[in-house]
Amino acid sequence: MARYLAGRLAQAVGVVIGVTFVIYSAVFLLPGNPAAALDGGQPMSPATLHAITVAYGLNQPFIIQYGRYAMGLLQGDLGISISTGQGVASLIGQAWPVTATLALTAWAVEIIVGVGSGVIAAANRGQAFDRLVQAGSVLLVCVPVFVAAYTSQVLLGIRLHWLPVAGTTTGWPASYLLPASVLAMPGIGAIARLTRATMLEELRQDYVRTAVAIGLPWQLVVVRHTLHNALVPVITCLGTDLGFLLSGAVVVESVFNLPGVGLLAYNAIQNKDGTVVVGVVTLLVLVFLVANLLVDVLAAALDPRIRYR
Amino acid sequence: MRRPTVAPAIVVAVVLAMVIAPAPFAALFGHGDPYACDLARSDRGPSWGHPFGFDMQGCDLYANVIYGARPTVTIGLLVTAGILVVAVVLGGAAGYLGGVTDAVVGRLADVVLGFPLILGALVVLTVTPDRNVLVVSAVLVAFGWPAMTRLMRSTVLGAAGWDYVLAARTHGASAFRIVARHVLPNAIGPVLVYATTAVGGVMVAETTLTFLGVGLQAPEISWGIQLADAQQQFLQYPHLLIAPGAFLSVTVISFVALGDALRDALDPQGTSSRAGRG
Repeated sequence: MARYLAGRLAQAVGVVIGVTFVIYSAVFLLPGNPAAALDGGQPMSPATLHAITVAYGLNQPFIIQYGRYAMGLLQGDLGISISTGQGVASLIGQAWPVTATLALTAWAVEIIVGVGSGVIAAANRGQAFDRLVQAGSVLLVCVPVFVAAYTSQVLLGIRLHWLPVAGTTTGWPASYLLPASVLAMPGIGAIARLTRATMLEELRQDYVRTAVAIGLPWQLVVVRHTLHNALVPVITCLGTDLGFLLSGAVVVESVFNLPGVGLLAYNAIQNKDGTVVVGVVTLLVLVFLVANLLVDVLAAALDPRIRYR
Repeated sequence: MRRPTVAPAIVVAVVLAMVIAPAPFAALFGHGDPYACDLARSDRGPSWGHPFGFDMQGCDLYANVIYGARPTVTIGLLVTAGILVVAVVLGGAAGYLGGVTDAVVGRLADVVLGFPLILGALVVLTVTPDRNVLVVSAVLVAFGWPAMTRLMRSTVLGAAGWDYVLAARTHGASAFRIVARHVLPNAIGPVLVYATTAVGGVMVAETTLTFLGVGLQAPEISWGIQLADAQQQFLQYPHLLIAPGAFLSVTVISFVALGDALRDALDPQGTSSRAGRG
Protein backbone atom coordinates (compact mmCIF):
# COMPACT_ATOMS: atom_id res chain seq x y z
CA MET A 1 0.00 0.00 0.00
CA ALA A 2 2.86 2.42 0.88
CA ARG A 3 4.45 1.79 -2.50
CA TYR A 4 1.18 2.37 -4.34
CA LEU A 5 0.64 5.57 -2.33
CA ALA A 6 4.14 6.90 -3.11
CA GLY A 7 3.78 6.17 -6.84
CA ARG A 8 0.33 7.76 -7.01
CA LEU A 9 1.57 10.84 -5.11
CA ALA A 10 4.58 11.29 -7.42
CA GLN A 11 2.26 11.08 -10.41
CA ALA A 12 -0.03 13.73 -8.90
CA VAL A 13 2.88 16.14 -8.35
CA GLY A 14 4.00 15.73 -11.98
CA VAL A 15 0.47 16.37 -13.20
CA VAL A 16 0.16 19.52 -11.06
CA ILE A 17 3.36 20.96 -12.58
CA GLY A 18 2.22 20.08 -16.12
CA VAL A 19 -1.27 21.48 -15.60
CA THR A 20 -0.15 24.82 -14.12
CA PHE A 21 2.36 25.18 -16.96
CA VAL A 22 -0.33 24.59 -19.62
CA ILE A 23 -2.74 27.05 -17.98
CA TYR A 24 -0.11 29.72 -17.52
CA SER A 25 1.17 29.43 -21.09
CA ALA A 26 -2.37 29.69 -22.45
CA VAL A 27 -3.10 32.88 -20.55
CA PHE A 28 0.35 34.34 -21.26
CA LEU A 29 -0.51 34.16 -24.96
CA LEU A 30 -3.51 36.50 -24.49
CA PRO A 31 -3.23 39.16 -27.19
CA GLY A 32 -2.54 42.72 -26.05
CA ASN A 33 -0.69 44.08 -23.06
CA PRO A 34 -2.85 43.53 -19.95
CA ALA A 35 -1.38 46.73 -18.48
CA ALA A 36 -3.11 48.71 -21.26
CA ALA A 37 -6.48 47.52 -19.90
CA LEU A 38 -5.86 49.62 -16.77
CA ASP A 39 -6.27 52.95 -18.60
CA GLY A 40 -9.81 53.42 -17.24
CA GLY A 41 -10.94 54.84 -20.57
CA GLN A 42 -8.38 57.67 -20.41
CA PRO A 43 -5.31 58.07 -22.61
CA MET A 44 -2.19 56.72 -20.88
CA SER A 45 1.34 57.99 -21.47
CA PRO A 46 3.94 55.46 -22.68
CA ALA A 47 5.96 56.13 -19.52
CA THR A 48 3.02 55.18 -17.25
CA LEU A 49 2.30 52.12 -19.35
CA HIS A 50 5.95 51.11 -19.07
CA ALA A 51 5.92 51.67 -15.29
CA ILE A 52 2.86 49.44 -14.86
CA THR A 53 4.33 46.79 -17.17
CA VAL A 54 7.53 46.70 -15.09
CA ALA A 55 5.61 46.81 -11.79
CA TYR A 56 3.68 43.65 -12.70
CA GLY A 57 6.78 41.98 -14.19
CA LEU A 58 5.08 41.73 -17.60
CA ASN A 59 8.31 42.64 -19.47
CA GLN A 60 10.24 39.61 -18.22
CA PRO A 61 10.70 36.38 -20.18
CA PHE A 62 7.81 33.92 -20.02
CA ILE A 63 9.73 31.23 -18.13
CA ILE A 64 10.71 33.67 -15.37
CA GLN A 65 7.13 34.86 -15.05
CA TYR A 66 6.01 31.24 -14.77
CA GLY A 67 8.71 30.52 -12.18
CA ARG A 68 7.61 33.49 -10.05
CA TYR A 69 4.00 32.38 -10.40
CA ALA A 70 4.84 28.79 -9.37
CA MET A 71 6.86 29.97 -6.35
CA GLY A 72 3.95 32.19 -5.31
CA LEU A 73 1.53 29.31 -5.78
CA LEU A 74 3.55 27.16 -3.37
CA GLN A 75 3.18 29.93 -0.79
CA GLY A 76 -0.54 30.31 -1.39
CA ASP A 77 -0.08 33.53 -3.38
CA LEU A 78 -2.19 33.56 -6.55
CA GLY A 79 -1.22 37.07 -7.67
CA ILE A 80 -3.25 40.26 -7.94
CA SER A 81 -6.33 40.82 -10.08
CA ILE A 82 -5.28 43.12 -12.91
CA SER A 83 -8.70 44.77 -13.19
CA THR A 84 -9.53 45.37 -9.52
CA GLY A 85 -6.13 45.26 -7.77
CA GLN A 86 -7.47 42.80 -5.17
CA GLY A 87 -5.56 39.65 -4.26
CA VAL A 88 -6.79 36.68 -6.28
CA ALA A 89 -6.55 34.43 -3.23
CA SER A 90 -8.88 36.67 -1.24
CA LEU A 91 -11.34 36.94 -4.18
CA ILE A 92 -11.41 33.15 -4.38
CA GLY A 93 -11.61 32.90 -0.58
CA GLN A 94 -14.82 34.96 -0.58
CA ALA A 95 -16.41 33.02 -3.43
CA TRP A 96 -15.20 29.53 -2.58
CA PRO A 97 -17.83 28.54 0.07
CA VAL A 98 -20.65 29.00 -2.46
CA THR A 99 -19.02 26.70 -5.01
CA ALA A 100 -18.04 24.12 -2.38
CA THR A 101 -21.61 24.04 -1.04
CA LEU A 102 -22.99 23.75 -4.57
CA ALA A 103 -20.61 20.98 -5.64
CA LEU A 104 -20.98 18.98 -2.42
CA THR A 105 -24.78 19.23 -2.53
CA ALA A 106 -24.70 18.08 -6.15
CA TRP A 107 -22.35 15.23 -5.22
CA ALA A 108 -24.71 14.13 -2.45
CA VAL A 109 -27.71 14.23 -4.83
CA GLU A 110 -25.68 12.25 -7.36
CA ILE A 111 -24.67 9.54 -4.88
CA ILE A 112 -28.11 9.15 -3.31
CA VAL A 113 -30.18 9.22 -6.51
CA GLY A 114 -27.61 7.66 -8.88
CA VAL A 115 -26.38 4.77 -6.75
CA GLY A 116 -29.85 4.19 -5.27
CA SER A 117 -31.66 3.97 -8.60
CA GLY A 118 -28.84 1.89 -10.13
CA VAL A 119 -28.97 -0.68 -7.33
CA ILE A 120 -32.78 -0.89 -7.36
CA ALA A 121 -32.79 -1.22 -11.16
CA ALA A 122 -30.21 -4.03 -11.10
CA ALA A 123 -32.03 -5.91 -8.32
CA ASN A 124 -35.26 -5.73 -10.35
CA ARG A 125 -33.80 -6.38 -13.78
CA GLY A 126 -36.16 -6.07 -16.75
CA GLN A 127 -39.03 -4.63 -14.72
CA ALA A 128 -40.70 -1.26 -15.14
CA PHE A 129 -38.33 0.63 -12.83
CA ASP A 130 -35.28 -0.84 -14.56
CA ARG A 131 -36.56 0.33 -17.94
CA LEU A 132 -37.30 3.77 -16.51
CA VAL A 133 -33.75 4.05 -15.15
CA GLN A 134 -32.23 2.89 -18.44
CA ALA A 135 -34.20 5.37 -20.54
CA GLY A 136 -33.96 8.18 -17.99
CA SER A 137 -30.20 7.86 -17.53
CA VAL A 138 -29.55 8.34 -21.26
CA LEU A 139 -31.79 11.40 -21.21
CA LEU A 140 -30.00 12.88 -18.18
CA VAL A 141 -26.52 12.34 -19.65
CA CYS A 142 -27.50 13.92 -22.97
CA VAL A 143 -29.41 17.09 -22.10
CA PRO A 144 -26.92 19.99 -21.81
CA VAL A 145 -26.69 21.44 -18.30
CA PHE A 146 -27.63 24.99 -19.36
CA VAL A 147 -30.75 23.81 -21.22
CA ALA A 148 -31.84 21.88 -18.12
CA ALA A 149 -30.96 24.87 -15.95
CA TYR A 150 -33.16 27.34 -17.83
CA THR A 151 -36.02 24.88 -18.27
CA SER A 152 -36.12 24.04 -14.55
CA GLN A 153 -35.72 27.69 -13.64
CA VAL A 154 -38.83 28.57 -15.68
CA LEU A 155 -40.91 25.56 -14.64
CA LEU A 156 -40.07 25.09 -10.94
CA GLY A 157 -39.04 28.62 -10.05
CA ILE A 158 -41.21 30.99 -12.04
CA ARG A 159 -44.33 29.04 -13.04
CA LEU A 160 -44.72 26.88 -9.91
CA HIS A 161 -42.91 29.10 -7.33
CA TRP A 162 -41.52 25.99 -5.59
CA LEU A 163 -37.90 27.11 -5.28
CA PRO A 164 -35.92 30.37 -5.46
CA VAL A 165 -34.92 31.36 -9.00
CA ALA A 166 -31.51 32.95 -8.39
CA GLY A 167 -29.00 34.08 -5.79
CA THR A 168 -28.13 32.64 -2.39
CA THR A 169 -30.26 34.92 -0.19
CA THR A 170 -32.50 32.12 1.13
CA GLY A 171 -29.47 30.08 2.21
CA TRP A 172 -28.91 26.32 2.19
CA PRO A 173 -30.74 24.16 1.19
CA ALA A 174 -33.47 26.17 -0.58
CA SER A 175 -31.14 28.30 -2.71
CA TYR A 176 -28.90 25.38 -3.64
CA LEU A 177 -31.43 22.64 -4.21
CA LEU A 178 -32.39 23.53 -7.78
CA PRO A 179 -28.88 24.48 -9.07
CA ALA A 180 -27.33 21.42 -7.41
CA SER A 181 -29.94 19.07 -8.86
CA VAL A 182 -29.42 20.51 -12.34
CA LEU A 183 -25.65 20.26 -11.92
CA ALA A 184 -25.96 16.65 -10.76
CA MET A 185 -28.19 15.52 -13.64
CA PRO A 186 -25.52 14.18 -16.06
CA GLY A 187 -23.71 12.57 -13.12
CA ILE A 188 -26.89 10.88 -11.88
CA GLY A 189 -27.36 9.34 -15.33
CA ALA A 190 -23.75 8.15 -15.58
CA ILE A 191 -23.61 6.82 -12.01
CA ALA A 192 -26.96 5.04 -12.34
CA ARG A 193 -25.83 3.33 -15.58
CA LEU A 194 -22.48 2.31 -14.11
CA THR A 195 -23.96 1.11 -10.80
CA ARG A 196 -26.57 -0.94 -12.64
CA ALA A 197 -23.95 -2.50 -14.94
CA THR A 198 -21.47 -3.41 -12.18
CA MET A 199 -24.28 -4.70 -9.91
CA LEU A 200 -25.58 -6.96 -12.71
CA GLU A 201 -22.03 -8.24 -13.26
CA GLU A 202 -21.63 -8.93 -9.54
CA LEU A 203 -25.07 -10.56 -9.18
CA ARG A 204 -23.96 -13.20 -11.73
CA GLN A 205 -21.16 -14.41 -9.40
CA ASP A 206 -21.20 -17.83 -7.78
CA TYR A 207 -21.29 -16.50 -4.23
CA VAL A 208 -24.59 -14.76 -4.97
CA ARG A 209 -26.09 -18.05 -6.16
CA THR A 210 -24.78 -19.72 -3.00
CA ALA A 211 -26.25 -17.01 -0.79
CA VAL A 212 -29.64 -17.35 -2.48
CA ALA A 213 -29.43 -21.15 -2.32
CA ILE A 214 -28.88 -21.21 1.43
CA GLY A 215 -32.04 -19.18 1.78
CA LEU A 216 -30.91 -15.60 2.43
CA PRO A 217 -33.50 -12.97 1.50
CA TRP A 218 -32.80 -11.25 -1.86
CA GLN A 219 -32.62 -7.75 -0.34
CA LEU A 220 -29.96 -8.92 2.14
CA VAL A 221 -27.92 -10.54 -0.65
CA VAL A 222 -28.02 -7.34 -2.68
CA VAL A 223 -27.22 -4.91 0.14
CA ARG A 224 -24.85 -6.96 2.34
CA HIS A 225 -22.97 -9.13 -0.15
CA THR A 226 -23.00 -7.52 -3.57
CA LEU A 227 -23.04 -3.77 -3.03
CA HIS A 228 -19.56 -3.58 -1.45
CA ASN A 229 -17.91 -5.30 -4.42
CA ALA A 230 -19.90 -3.41 -7.02
CA LEU A 231 -19.17 0.03 -5.62
CA VAL A 232 -15.41 0.18 -6.30
CA PRO A 233 -15.73 1.29 -9.96
CA VAL A 234 -18.54 3.64 -8.93
CA ILE A 235 -16.29 5.33 -6.35
CA THR A 236 -13.56 5.79 -8.97
CA CYS A 237 -16.15 7.30 -11.31
CA LEU A 238 -17.34 9.71 -8.59
CA GLY A 239 -13.81 11.17 -8.52
CA THR A 240 -13.75 11.84 -12.27
CA ASP A 241 -17.23 13.18 -11.92
CA LEU A 242 -16.15 15.98 -9.59
CA GLY A 243 -14.38 17.45 -12.64
CA PHE A 244 -17.70 17.68 -14.46
CA LEU A 245 -19.31 19.17 -11.37
CA LEU A 246 -16.63 21.88 -11.08
CA SER A 247 -16.74 22.84 -14.76
CA GLY A 248 -20.54 22.60 -14.70
CA ALA A 249 -20.47 25.00 -11.75
CA VAL A 250 -19.22 27.75 -14.09
CA VAL A 251 -22.38 27.30 -16.20
CA VAL A 252 -24.83 26.76 -13.35
CA GLU A 253 -23.49 29.64 -11.27
CA SER A 254 -23.87 32.04 -14.19
CA VAL A 255 -27.44 30.87 -14.91
CA PHE A 256 -28.58 30.95 -11.27
CA ASN A 257 -26.42 33.96 -10.40
CA LEU A 258 -24.64 32.27 -7.50
CA PRO A 259 -21.57 34.29 -6.38
CA GLY A 260 -19.09 31.39 -6.45
CA VAL A 261 -15.72 30.91 -8.14
CA GLY A 262 -17.47 29.80 -11.36
CA LEU A 263 -19.12 33.18 -11.71
CA LEU A 264 -15.81 34.83 -10.73
CA ALA A 265 -14.00 32.95 -13.52
CA TYR A 266 -16.74 33.73 -16.02
CA ASN A 267 -16.62 37.47 -15.26
CA ALA A 268 -12.81 37.44 -15.30
CA ILE A 269 -12.83 35.89 -18.76
CA GLN A 270 -15.08 38.71 -19.99
CA ASN A 271 -12.65 41.29 -18.48
CA LYS A 272 -9.54 39.46 -19.79
CA ASP A 273 -8.34 39.36 -16.19
CA GLY A 274 -5.74 36.65 -16.73
CA THR A 275 -4.51 36.21 -13.15
CA VAL A 276 -8.04 35.61 -11.84
CA VAL A 277 -8.76 33.05 -14.60
CA VAL A 278 -5.46 31.30 -13.89
CA GLY A 279 -6.11 31.38 -10.13
CA VAL A 280 -9.63 29.98 -10.33
CA VAL A 281 -8.88 27.29 -12.92
CA THR A 282 -5.68 26.28 -11.09
CA LEU A 283 -7.63 25.94 -7.86
CA LEU A 284 -10.46 23.96 -9.51
CA VAL A 285 -7.95 21.65 -11.20
CA LEU A 286 -6.03 21.17 -7.92
CA VAL A 287 -9.25 20.31 -6.09
CA PHE A 288 -10.07 17.89 -8.89
CA LEU A 289 -6.62 16.24 -8.67
CA VAL A 290 -6.68 15.98 -4.87
CA ALA A 291 -10.19 14.51 -4.95
CA ASN A 292 -9.05 11.95 -7.52
CA LEU A 293 -6.03 11.09 -5.40
CA LEU A 294 -8.28 10.48 -2.37
CA VAL A 295 -10.73 8.47 -4.46
CA ASP A 296 -7.95 6.26 -5.88
CA VAL A 297 -6.54 5.63 -2.41
CA LEU A 298 -10.04 4.77 -1.16
CA ALA A 299 -10.55 2.39 -4.09
CA ALA A 300 -7.15 0.75 -3.42
CA ALA A 301 -8.10 0.34 0.24
CA LEU A 302 -11.39 -1.32 -0.74
CA ASP A 303 -9.96 -3.53 -3.50
CA PRO A 304 -6.43 -4.90 -2.88
CA ARG A 305 -6.04 -5.91 -6.55
CA ILE A 306 -5.76 -2.22 -7.57
CA ARG A 307 -2.54 -1.79 -5.52
CA TYR A 308 -0.66 -4.29 -7.68
CA ARG A 309 -1.85 -3.22 -11.09
CA MET B 1 -32.58 -6.11 -23.40
CA ARG B 2 -33.13 -4.93 -26.94
CA ARG B 3 -32.33 -1.28 -27.41
CA PRO B 4 -34.06 1.02 -29.87
CA THR B 5 -31.87 1.08 -33.00
CA VAL B 6 -34.07 2.26 -35.86
CA ALA B 7 -35.27 5.58 -34.42
CA PRO B 8 -31.80 6.93 -33.51
CA ALA B 9 -30.39 5.79 -36.85
CA ILE B 10 -33.17 7.68 -38.69
CA VAL B 11 -32.63 10.82 -36.58
CA VAL B 12 -28.88 10.74 -37.20
CA ALA B 13 -29.45 10.25 -40.95
CA VAL B 14 -31.92 13.18 -41.08
CA VAL B 15 -29.56 15.43 -39.09
CA LEU B 16 -26.65 14.56 -41.40
CA ALA B 17 -28.85 15.34 -44.42
CA MET B 18 -29.73 18.68 -42.76
CA VAL B 19 -26.03 19.43 -42.33
CA ILE B 20 -25.17 18.63 -45.96
CA ALA B 21 -28.18 20.34 -47.58
CA PRO B 22 -30.16 22.53 -45.14
CA ALA B 23 -32.10 24.49 -47.78
CA PRO B 24 -34.83 21.91 -48.66
CA PHE B 25 -35.45 21.15 -44.97
CA ALA B 26 -35.67 24.84 -44.08
CA ALA B 27 -38.15 25.45 -46.92
CA LEU B 28 -40.57 22.73 -45.75
CA PHE B 29 -43.00 25.16 -44.12
CA GLY B 30 -42.27 28.74 -45.17
CA HIS B 31 -39.73 30.79 -47.11
CA GLY B 32 -36.89 28.93 -45.36
CA ASP B 33 -34.43 31.84 -45.46
CA PRO B 34 -32.65 32.29 -42.10
CA TYR B 35 -31.51 35.80 -43.08
CA ALA B 36 -34.93 37.11 -44.19
CA CYS B 37 -35.72 39.09 -41.05
CA ASP B 38 -38.44 41.62 -40.28
CA LEU B 39 -38.15 43.52 -37.00
CA ALA B 40 -41.92 44.07 -36.98
CA ARG B 41 -42.29 40.36 -36.21
CA SER B 42 -39.72 40.29 -33.40
CA ASP B 43 -40.27 37.49 -30.84
CA ARG B 44 -43.67 36.50 -32.31
CA GLY B 45 -44.87 33.00 -31.44
CA PRO B 46 -45.55 30.22 -33.96
CA SER B 47 -47.82 31.04 -36.90
CA TRP B 48 -48.78 29.56 -40.29
CA GLY B 49 -45.60 28.87 -42.31
CA HIS B 50 -43.40 29.64 -39.28
CA PRO B 51 -43.84 26.64 -36.95
CA PHE B 52 -41.36 27.84 -34.30
CA GLY B 53 -42.17 31.57 -34.51
CA PHE B 54 -39.56 34.35 -34.76
CA ASP B 55 -36.46 35.39 -32.82
CA MET B 56 -35.64 38.85 -31.47
CA GLN B 57 -34.44 40.10 -34.87
CA GLY B 58 -37.67 38.86 -36.46
CA CYS B 59 -35.95 36.01 -38.31
CA ASP B 60 -37.81 32.74 -38.90
CA LEU B 61 -36.70 30.51 -36.00
CA TYR B 62 -37.44 27.23 -37.79
CA ALA B 63 -35.09 28.09 -40.69
CA ASN B 64 -32.44 29.23 -38.19
CA VAL B 65 -32.65 26.02 -36.18
CA ILE B 66 -32.26 23.94 -39.36
CA TYR B 67 -29.21 25.93 -40.49
CA GLY B 68 -27.92 25.91 -36.88
CA ALA B 69 -27.34 22.15 -37.09
CA ARG B 70 -24.38 22.57 -39.42
CA PRO B 71 -21.66 24.08 -37.15
CA THR B 72 -22.61 22.05 -34.08
CA VAL B 73 -22.76 18.69 -35.88
CA THR B 74 -19.66 19.54 -37.98
CA ILE B 75 -17.70 20.21 -34.79
CA GLY B 76 -19.05 16.99 -33.26
CA LEU B 77 -17.85 14.91 -36.23
CA LEU B 78 -14.60 16.84 -36.82
CA VAL B 79 -13.49 16.65 -33.19
CA THR B 80 -14.37 12.97 -32.93
CA ALA B 81 -12.44 12.24 -36.15
CA GLY B 82 -9.45 14.22 -34.83
CA ILE B 83 -9.52 12.42 -31.48
CA LEU B 84 -9.80 9.10 -33.33
CA VAL B 85 -6.67 9.88 -35.39
CA VAL B 86 -4.74 10.87 -32.23
CA ALA B 87 -6.00 7.75 -30.45
CA VAL B 88 -4.96 5.42 -33.29
CA VAL B 89 -1.48 6.99 -33.62
CA LEU B 90 -0.61 7.61 -29.94
CA GLY B 91 -2.66 4.78 -28.45
CA GLY B 92 -1.40 2.34 -31.10
CA ALA B 93 2.22 3.39 -30.57
CA ALA B 94 1.92 3.31 -26.76
CA GLY B 95 0.21 -0.08 -26.74
CA TYR B 96 2.43 -1.79 -29.31
CA LEU B 97 5.85 -0.23 -28.61
CA GLY B 98 5.46 0.07 -24.83
CA GLY B 99 8.51 1.28 -22.88
CA VAL B 100 9.45 4.95 -23.20
CA THR B 101 6.72 5.71 -25.79
CA ASP B 102 4.08 4.28 -23.50
CA ALA B 103 5.41 6.25 -20.52
CA VAL B 104 5.54 9.56 -22.42
CA VAL B 105 2.03 9.15 -23.86
CA GLY B 106 0.76 8.06 -20.46
CA ARG B 107 2.19 11.08 -18.61
CA LEU B 108 0.92 13.48 -21.32
CA ALA B 109 -2.53 11.94 -20.98
CA ASP B 110 -2.33 12.33 -17.20
CA VAL B 111 -1.66 16.06 -17.52
CA VAL B 112 -4.47 16.64 -20.04
CA LEU B 113 -6.87 14.51 -17.98
CA GLY B 114 -6.08 16.87 -15.08
CA PHE B 115 -8.31 19.38 -16.88
CA PRO B 116 -12.03 18.94 -16.90
CA LEU B 117 -12.74 19.36 -20.67
CA ILE B 118 -14.79 22.56 -20.43
CA LEU B 119 -12.33 24.32 -18.08
CA GLY B 120 -9.33 23.54 -20.27
CA ALA B 121 -11.07 24.67 -23.44
CA LEU B 122 -12.39 27.77 -21.63
CA VAL B 123 -8.89 29.00 -20.74
CA VAL B 124 -7.45 28.49 -24.23
CA LEU B 125 -10.47 29.82 -26.16
CA THR B 126 -10.57 33.12 -24.26
CA VAL B 127 -7.10 33.73 -25.68
CA THR B 128 -8.32 33.30 -29.25
CA PRO B 129 -9.98 36.34 -30.83
CA ASP B 130 -11.29 34.68 -34.04
CA ARG B 131 -13.09 31.53 -33.01
CA ASN B 132 -14.46 29.62 -35.97
CA VAL B 133 -15.45 25.97 -36.35
CA LEU B 134 -11.84 24.87 -36.99
CA VAL B 135 -10.36 26.69 -33.99
CA VAL B 136 -13.00 25.42 -31.57
CA SER B 137 -12.55 21.90 -32.96
CA ALA B 138 -8.76 22.01 -32.58
CA VAL B 139 -9.01 23.12 -28.94
CA LEU B 140 -11.57 20.40 -28.14
CA VAL B 141 -9.30 17.78 -29.75
CA ALA B 142 -6.32 19.09 -27.74
CA PHE B 143 -8.19 18.56 -24.45
CA GLY B 144 -10.37 15.59 -25.42
CA TRP B 145 -7.96 12.94 -26.72
CA PRO B 146 -6.74 11.07 -23.59
CA ALA B 147 -9.81 8.91 -22.84
CA MET B 148 -10.01 7.39 -26.32
CA THR B 149 -6.21 7.04 -26.54
CA ARG B 150 -6.16 5.05 -23.31
CA LEU B 151 -8.94 2.80 -24.62
CA MET B 152 -6.99 2.29 -27.89
CA ARG B 153 -3.81 1.50 -25.95
CA SER B 154 -5.53 -1.19 -23.89
CA THR B 155 -7.24 -2.84 -26.90
CA VAL B 156 -3.93 -2.78 -28.84
CA LEU B 157 -2.19 -4.38 -25.85
CA GLY B 158 -4.79 -7.14 -25.98
CA ALA B 159 -4.64 -7.66 -29.74
CA ALA B 160 -0.82 -7.59 -29.91
CA GLY B 161 -0.51 -10.68 -27.72
CA TRP B 162 -1.90 -13.16 -30.28
CA ASP B 163 0.20 -15.81 -31.96
CA TYR B 164 -0.35 -14.47 -35.49
CA VAL B 165 1.31 -11.19 -34.43
CA LEU B 166 4.32 -13.17 -33.25
CA ALA B 167 4.21 -15.10 -36.54
CA ALA B 168 4.22 -11.87 -38.54
CA ARG B 169 7.17 -10.62 -36.48
CA THR B 170 9.17 -13.79 -37.09
CA HIS B 171 8.52 -13.28 -40.80
CA GLY B 172 10.31 -9.95 -40.47
CA ALA B 173 7.32 -7.63 -40.97
CA SER B 174 7.91 -4.03 -39.88
CA ALA B 175 6.26 -2.68 -36.75
CA PHE B 176 4.10 -0.35 -38.85
CA ARG B 177 2.90 -3.20 -41.06
CA ILE B 178 2.13 -5.45 -38.10
CA VAL B 179 0.12 -2.72 -36.36
CA ALA B 180 -1.73 -1.62 -39.50
CA ARG B 181 -2.50 -5.07 -40.90
CA HIS B 182 -2.77 -7.38 -37.90
CA VAL B 183 -3.30 -5.43 -34.68
CA LEU B 184 -5.52 -2.46 -35.57
CA PRO B 185 -8.34 -4.38 -37.29
CA ASN B 186 -8.76 -6.42 -34.11
CA ALA B 187 -8.33 -3.53 -31.72
CA ILE B 188 -10.42 -0.74 -33.24
CA GLY B 189 -13.97 -2.09 -32.64
CA PRO B 190 -14.52 -0.81 -29.08
CA VAL B 191 -12.82 2.47 -30.04
CA LEU B 192 -15.26 3.07 -32.90
CA VAL B 193 -18.18 2.35 -30.58
CA TYR B 194 -16.79 4.85 -28.10
CA ALA B 195 -16.33 7.38 -30.91
CA THR B 196 -20.00 7.17 -31.96
CA THR B 197 -21.06 7.92 -28.41
CA ALA B 198 -18.45 10.68 -28.09
CA VAL B 199 -19.98 12.73 -30.96
CA GLY B 200 -22.90 13.61 -28.69
CA GLY B 201 -20.63 14.66 -25.83
CA VAL B 202 -18.57 16.91 -28.11
CA MET B 203 -21.72 18.67 -29.36
CA VAL B 204 -22.78 19.35 -25.77
CA ALA B 205 -19.29 20.71 -25.00
CA GLU B 206 -19.39 23.01 -28.05
CA THR B 207 -22.81 24.47 -27.24
CA THR B 208 -21.79 24.92 -23.60
CA LEU B 209 -18.66 26.87 -24.62
CA THR B 210 -20.65 28.97 -27.11
CA PHE B 211 -23.25 29.58 -24.42
CA LEU B 212 -20.52 30.83 -22.04
CA GLY B 213 -19.35 33.20 -24.78
CA VAL B 214 -16.07 31.53 -25.74
CA GLY B 215 -17.32 29.28 -28.56
CA LEU B 216 -18.65 30.27 -31.98
CA GLN B 217 -19.61 33.90 -32.60
CA ALA B 218 -22.37 35.70 -34.52
CA PRO B 219 -23.04 36.07 -37.47
CA GLU B 220 -22.51 32.31 -37.52
CA ILE B 221 -25.84 30.46 -37.10
CA SER B 222 -25.58 27.75 -34.47
CA TRP B 223 -27.65 26.10 -31.76
CA GLY B 224 -25.25 27.33 -29.11
CA ILE B 225 -25.60 30.98 -30.24
CA GLN B 226 -29.40 30.65 -30.44
CA LEU B 227 -29.50 29.24 -26.90
CA ALA B 228 -27.14 31.94 -25.61
CA ASP B 229 -29.33 34.65 -27.20
CA ALA B 230 -32.51 33.07 -25.87
CA GLN B 231 -31.35 33.36 -22.25
CA GLN B 232 -31.91 37.15 -22.34
CA GLN B 233 -35.64 36.75 -22.90
CA PHE B 234 -36.63 33.19 -22.11
CA LEU B 235 -39.11 34.34 -19.47
CA GLN B 236 -41.33 36.17 -21.95
CA TYR B 237 -40.52 34.04 -25.00
CA PRO B 238 -39.74 30.43 -24.01
CA HIS B 239 -40.16 29.28 -27.64
CA LEU B 240 -36.71 30.78 -28.37
CA LEU B 241 -35.14 28.31 -25.92
CA ILE B 242 -37.31 25.27 -26.56
CA ALA B 243 -36.76 24.87 -30.33
CA PRO B 244 -32.93 24.78 -30.47
CA GLY B 245 -32.77 23.04 -27.07
CA ALA B 246 -35.02 20.21 -28.24
CA PHE B 247 -33.16 19.78 -31.55
CA LEU B 248 -29.82 19.66 -29.75
CA SER B 249 -31.02 17.20 -27.08
CA VAL B 250 -32.67 14.82 -29.57
CA THR B 251 -29.55 14.83 -31.80
CA VAL B 252 -27.21 14.12 -28.88
CA ILE B 253 -29.45 11.34 -27.53
CA SER B 254 -29.61 9.76 -31.00
CA PHE B 255 -25.81 9.62 -31.36
CA VAL B 256 -25.44 8.12 -27.88
CA ALA B 257 -28.24 5.58 -28.50
CA LEU B 258 -26.66 4.66 -31.84
CA GLY B 259 -23.33 4.07 -30.08
CA ASP B 260 -25.06 1.86 -27.51
CA ALA B 261 -26.77 -0.17 -30.24
CA LEU B 262 -23.47 -0.48 -32.10
CA ARG B 263 -21.80 -1.78 -28.94
CA ASP B 264 -24.53 -4.37 -28.42
CA ALA B 265 -24.09 -5.54 -32.01
CA LEU B 266 -20.27 -5.66 -31.99
CA ASP B 267 -19.70 -6.67 -28.40
CA PRO B 268 -22.65 -8.64 -27.03
CA GLN B 269 -20.85 -9.50 -23.78
CA GLY B 270 -20.29 -5.84 -22.94
CA THR B 271 -16.53 -6.17 -22.41
CA SER B 272 -15.62 -2.84 -24.00
CA SER B 273 -15.44 0.36 -21.99
CA ARG B 274 -18.68 1.91 -20.90
CA ALA B 275 -20.18 4.85 -22.73
CA GLY B 276 -18.41 8.19 -22.44
CA ARG B 277 -20.05 11.41 -21.48
CA GLY B 278 -19.75 15.09 -22.29
